[in-house]
Amino acid sequence: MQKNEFTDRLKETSPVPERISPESIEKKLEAQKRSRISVKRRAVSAAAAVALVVGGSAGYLYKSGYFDKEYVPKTKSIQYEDTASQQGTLINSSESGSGTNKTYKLSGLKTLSYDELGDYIKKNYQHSTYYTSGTDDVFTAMDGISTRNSAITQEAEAVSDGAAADNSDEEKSADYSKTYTQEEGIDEADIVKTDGKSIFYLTAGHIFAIECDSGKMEDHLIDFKELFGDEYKASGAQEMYLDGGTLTVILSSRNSYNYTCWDEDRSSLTNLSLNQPTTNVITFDVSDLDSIKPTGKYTVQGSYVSSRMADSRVYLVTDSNLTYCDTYEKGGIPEFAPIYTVNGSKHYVSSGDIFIPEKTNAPRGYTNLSLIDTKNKCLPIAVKSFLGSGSEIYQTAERLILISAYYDYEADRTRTTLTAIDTADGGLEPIASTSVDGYVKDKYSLSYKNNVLSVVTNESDYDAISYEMHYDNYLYCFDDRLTLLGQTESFGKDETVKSVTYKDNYAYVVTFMQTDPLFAIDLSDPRKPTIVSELKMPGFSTHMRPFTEGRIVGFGNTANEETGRTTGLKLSVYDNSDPNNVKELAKAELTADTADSIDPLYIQVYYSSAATYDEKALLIDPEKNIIAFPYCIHDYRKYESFSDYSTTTGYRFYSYTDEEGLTLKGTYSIKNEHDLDDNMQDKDFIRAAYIGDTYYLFYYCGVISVNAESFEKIDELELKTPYDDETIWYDDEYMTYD
Amino acid sequence: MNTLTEMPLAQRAVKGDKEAFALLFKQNSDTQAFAELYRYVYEELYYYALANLGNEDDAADCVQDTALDAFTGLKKLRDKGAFHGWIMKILVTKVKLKQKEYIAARQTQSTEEEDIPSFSSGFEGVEIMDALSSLTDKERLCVSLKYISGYKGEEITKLTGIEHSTVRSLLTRARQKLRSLLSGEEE
Repeated sequence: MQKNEFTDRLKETSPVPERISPESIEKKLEAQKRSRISVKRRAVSAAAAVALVVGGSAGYLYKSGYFDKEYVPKTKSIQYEDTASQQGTLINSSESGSGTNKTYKLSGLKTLSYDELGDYIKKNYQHSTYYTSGTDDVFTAMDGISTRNSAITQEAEAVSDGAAADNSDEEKSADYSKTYTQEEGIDEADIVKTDGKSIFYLTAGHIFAIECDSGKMEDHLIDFKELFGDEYKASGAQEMYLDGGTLTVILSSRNSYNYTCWDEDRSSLTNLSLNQPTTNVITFDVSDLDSIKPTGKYTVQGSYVSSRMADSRVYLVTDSNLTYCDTYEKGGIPEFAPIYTVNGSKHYVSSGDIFIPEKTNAPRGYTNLSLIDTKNKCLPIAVKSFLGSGSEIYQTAERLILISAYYDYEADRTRTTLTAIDTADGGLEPIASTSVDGYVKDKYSLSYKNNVLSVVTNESDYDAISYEMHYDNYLYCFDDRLTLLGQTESFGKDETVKSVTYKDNYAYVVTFMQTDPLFAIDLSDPRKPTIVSELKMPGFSTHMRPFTEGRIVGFGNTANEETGRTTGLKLSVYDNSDPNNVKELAKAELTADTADSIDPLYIQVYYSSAATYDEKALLIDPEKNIIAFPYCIHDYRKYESFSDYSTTTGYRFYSYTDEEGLTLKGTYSIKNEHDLDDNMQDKDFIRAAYIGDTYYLFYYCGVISVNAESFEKIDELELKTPYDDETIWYDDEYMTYD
Repeated sequence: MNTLTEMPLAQRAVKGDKEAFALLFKQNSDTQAFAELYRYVYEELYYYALANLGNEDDAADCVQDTALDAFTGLKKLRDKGAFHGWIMKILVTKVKLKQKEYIAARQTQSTEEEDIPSFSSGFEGVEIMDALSSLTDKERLCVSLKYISGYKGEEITKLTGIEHSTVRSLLTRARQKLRSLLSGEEE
């Protein structure tokens, strides 16, 4: 930045806000990488626009697609123990339960009518007005987005076509890798998906279908321009599911939404159009790769947070802005409710489907949860919204937990809201919400089992006197209505959580600052979760998962014990058959060896791996005994008269047996030479999959097939599209970066 | 350039040293490397946005969006020596889009974009902000690119698409309006 009087004066007006400091940005990028949230955009709502008076329509308007209906709790025939501790705030008490049934009383959550919701928002958002131009009533809260089932099905078309029948072929070719999922039966989306015959790969803003035959590959581009024109841009695609012959793509976009708001004099209503981040779910029939057809689509407000799939239904979570125009009374349309689109018509989430968690500070948006039927044109089975922005979800066959961090100004600390939704009957029934001190790293920190939810948290405390940051870690146990049962004492003092995994009745947590203690925590009595062992080692795992019985695999970094600086990569196998005495049985390390015959002035050699921040880059298959990770060796040497720079990238494949420990089965690698002016892209591997005896290794815009025995290359595809020369970045502007 | 100088890697990378750029990304995870690059531009990004929008929160939003977009699009950056100009261009576009939203918010009869005031200032009484609000959007654009980022005329044209001669006259008009604040500035 230039230094002159102009800039001096500017600097005096305002310091750079903390949330855009390099540290805050780095954190946001990390979070984005983890959960693949597409860029959160903001919208400013303003007072008036081109005059266009919109006639008001009051009350229920089935055709406009919103319902001011009360929340009716579902009846369920399972008895709950310990109802005395439930603090239900049941606003709408239409209980139809008979003597043997219990209804879901909401705990820590409430719903309001549209009128009440409008007032609630107005009251709680007064302080977050961003843009006031004449009227104080219009503002958009930023940062972070029901119709009754019968209403939706009435609009739905009757029969599902395009649903793929089960292929009997699938039984034969079950010998292929699948996306690693945290919980059984709950599929997670990814950029690589295979059904044993074809592989679908999402890279560089395009989706390719790759036909595979023992390593020979042929690619077909799924051409969004041809299929959709400008309606959907492939560059917004985030990740995919593959289920039978149906490919489900989650795609981000920015769409225009019309709002009715007051003009400057507050005398009449005008129309305002705002661009907001939007998430789309599109399904394709991919049973015939030569004619791939779209079979359904669904659109909802908000940027993509996460999703899961079970029984051909997608659970989609988005995070949307809240726009409040104070026109509900006059105009009769609940502008502040989130919007989703079905068959081209717009629906506002009904008031009975909008939930307000009690324990959170004034939330600045909605987390929207849509349950989509991919076998029936992506019609939504249910849409529920929660005030507050979600950052991650955890899901099992019975529960979906929304995780949302917020800053509690009164207590001056970070807290995390947890909201529990019952998914056991194939629906979405919110039950409870609570909050816990501290910060939850990611979905692996949670486990729901035997009606108990365990959560590992990290709390930080900044001591302004000594300029030191202090950390504490805890594990909490909640019952299935999120009442706190018990917690551990603080462990891993002044260290941060690096990885967590759960197996049987134990949680295994790795914390790290300079060394890596691996804690085993006994959860058999949820009122007293107890730390039973602590294994100290150098380095730390960034990801752990159960391997075979009594064995846990961990992947991460080696580190210098004095400084905590990472020095390389490490693969470990632990013995947790006796959790009171966890042992490290085997390890394989890749650390730098910087010896060189010519005495260099300057050498840097080090190892990195995409798997340290993206656990889906690992290929771990206990049945086939494969443990594989991608790596990159960076080798930079500067001599007096020349410099030498190369990288080697590849995948290393190990197997583990108790007798022989970790054995390196083979490596496939590429040496990327380049002089420093060359902008050649290294082939950095990010995914590996197998079909039968062939490994497929993926890098940016390409894939290599390798024989699983000899590790010799069979084939390579460099994926190109007819659109590669386009460098369009924004809709309205053509930008080149040269 | 002597790569064994004192200047930090990231600073060299931002200034156009491709070697330093490549090395920075090899030495660190991509988020860390990006944060290091960002450290050398973020103030400039913020004050550019603030000077053009007049609103701290909107300015911070634009910078944040720019950083996220830039990180996501890093692989598309063909010329690694052009980081600074490239990230500025993303910000310039985002600020323009935000200004369009301001304009849409105000009723207007005029078709001349230059006459539409779209500066939003909560800084009444603050001299520099008052002065900036007296400029048109395009004048503000040129002035901030020149005095905050130090771009010359041709570079401003490349970043914004405004013809060089127009840039010159916009700067002249703006300087007249900002006379008291820019005393002592050379062309």
